[in-house]
Amino acid sequence: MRNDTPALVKRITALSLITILLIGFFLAFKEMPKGSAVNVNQRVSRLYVMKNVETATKMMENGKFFAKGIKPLRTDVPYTPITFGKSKNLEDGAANVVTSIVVDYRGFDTLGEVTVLFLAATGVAMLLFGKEKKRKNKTEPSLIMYVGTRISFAIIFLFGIYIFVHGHLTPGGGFPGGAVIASGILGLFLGKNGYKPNHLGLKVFESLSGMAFVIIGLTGLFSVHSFLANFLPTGVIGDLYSAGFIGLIYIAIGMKVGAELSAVVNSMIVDVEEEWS
Amino acid sequence: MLDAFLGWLGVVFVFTGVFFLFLGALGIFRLPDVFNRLQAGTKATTLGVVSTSIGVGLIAKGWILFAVALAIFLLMTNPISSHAIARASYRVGVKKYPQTDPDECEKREWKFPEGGEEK
Amino acid sequence: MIIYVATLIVIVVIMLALIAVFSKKLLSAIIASGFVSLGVSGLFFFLQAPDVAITEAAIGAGLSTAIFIIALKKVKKGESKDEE
Repeated sequence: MRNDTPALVKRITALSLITILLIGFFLAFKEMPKGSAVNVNQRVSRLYVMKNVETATKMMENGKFFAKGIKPLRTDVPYTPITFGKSKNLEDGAANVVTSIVVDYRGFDTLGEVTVLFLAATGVAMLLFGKEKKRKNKTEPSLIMYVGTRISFAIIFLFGIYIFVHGHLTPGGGFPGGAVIASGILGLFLGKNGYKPNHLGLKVFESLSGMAFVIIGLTGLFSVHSFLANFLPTGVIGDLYSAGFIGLIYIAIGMKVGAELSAVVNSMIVDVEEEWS
Repeated sequence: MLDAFLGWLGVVFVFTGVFFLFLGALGIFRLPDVFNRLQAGTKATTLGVVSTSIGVGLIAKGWILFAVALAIFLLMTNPISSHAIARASYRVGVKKYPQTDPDECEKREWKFPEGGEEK
Repeated sequence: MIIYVATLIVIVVIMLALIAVFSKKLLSAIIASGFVSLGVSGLFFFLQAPDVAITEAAIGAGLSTAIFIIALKKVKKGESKDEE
């Protein structure tokens, strides 16, 4: 909206936008399943995995196993509920169905996504990274910030690693895990002036992680049948060592995204001598 | 017996936490300047959130570990962030409430000791 | 019950988005957009997309807000000077 628009027009536009959005959200939430609270074990895992066998069987008997309006694809084969911690040798052993789609069935798209992120990080580094400028009167962070960020960095780093290692079991995955790690690195930057991570090391680490992704994909190509095909046993659903190569790929993605975003933060936060103006 | 006792203890914890959260919200509205508001908005809510999470952990069994971890993390990070906000607003020069007296922060400014820091 | 909570979040999110659009101070706009991301991640969780919610909370509310603030600090022109 331009700046010389009258205030009345602005207000009317804002009011109509609010009305339209409210109606839209009301319609969207009207379709939500009825219930008093979000029960993660039942609601989410009705689409993911049946954790509770009895509930699943009851729901199948009552015809509530499928969401409203969805018909089963085949009626001749009985749909058996997948049991958390017991079912073996599934087509794709991930307890989190989003992960199995993102990494396994549409793994090639994820490779493209990671490449886009790599290009963005490289562009930021190319535009911003340079010789460091000495700033005279910059406020030194206090001792409390210095110690506190260093201690909390360990916990934040561990949490990020947890998110992407457990990507095939719980919601999360490589991208949020990497973002959490980069947030921890940002905390280190806030804790001390002139904190310098090894930028070249970050870049090398990130490239190695990307190469690990491609190498895992090529292993699938040569050992099974196609690029990014699962070549490891899928195991028991719900175990840490399950779901084949999804864990490996998510570890690679998490390290890559973490290193990339840390490099972006590093490029942004370091003051450089201006070469052009 | 023990379960019922733990449940009621959890309820007491949750209500204590809710009370302190309410006090924090009230203080943000009532207190005069940034520093006093920070006092209300971080000290009270730290105790409130920690107490609430521990109470929830006592009521719902199996979540006590998560609740304690959450409480520890909050106890570690919340004072640091409030300290950072207060220090930044002091350095920028936010106006103090005129009755704030004396100003101890004027005299002391912490610096890294020379050579005392690795690298 | 949950629809009322969701509606409340939606109203707050819309107000924050309007603040982010119409605010004269860029810092306020950035903080408001960070809170918009936080509320939207809650809405994603209500709509049973916890993966998207976690990603939105980590990237939208956490990292991108910080990067915007750093960029604002580098640009060094905190406020838009033009009137109305």
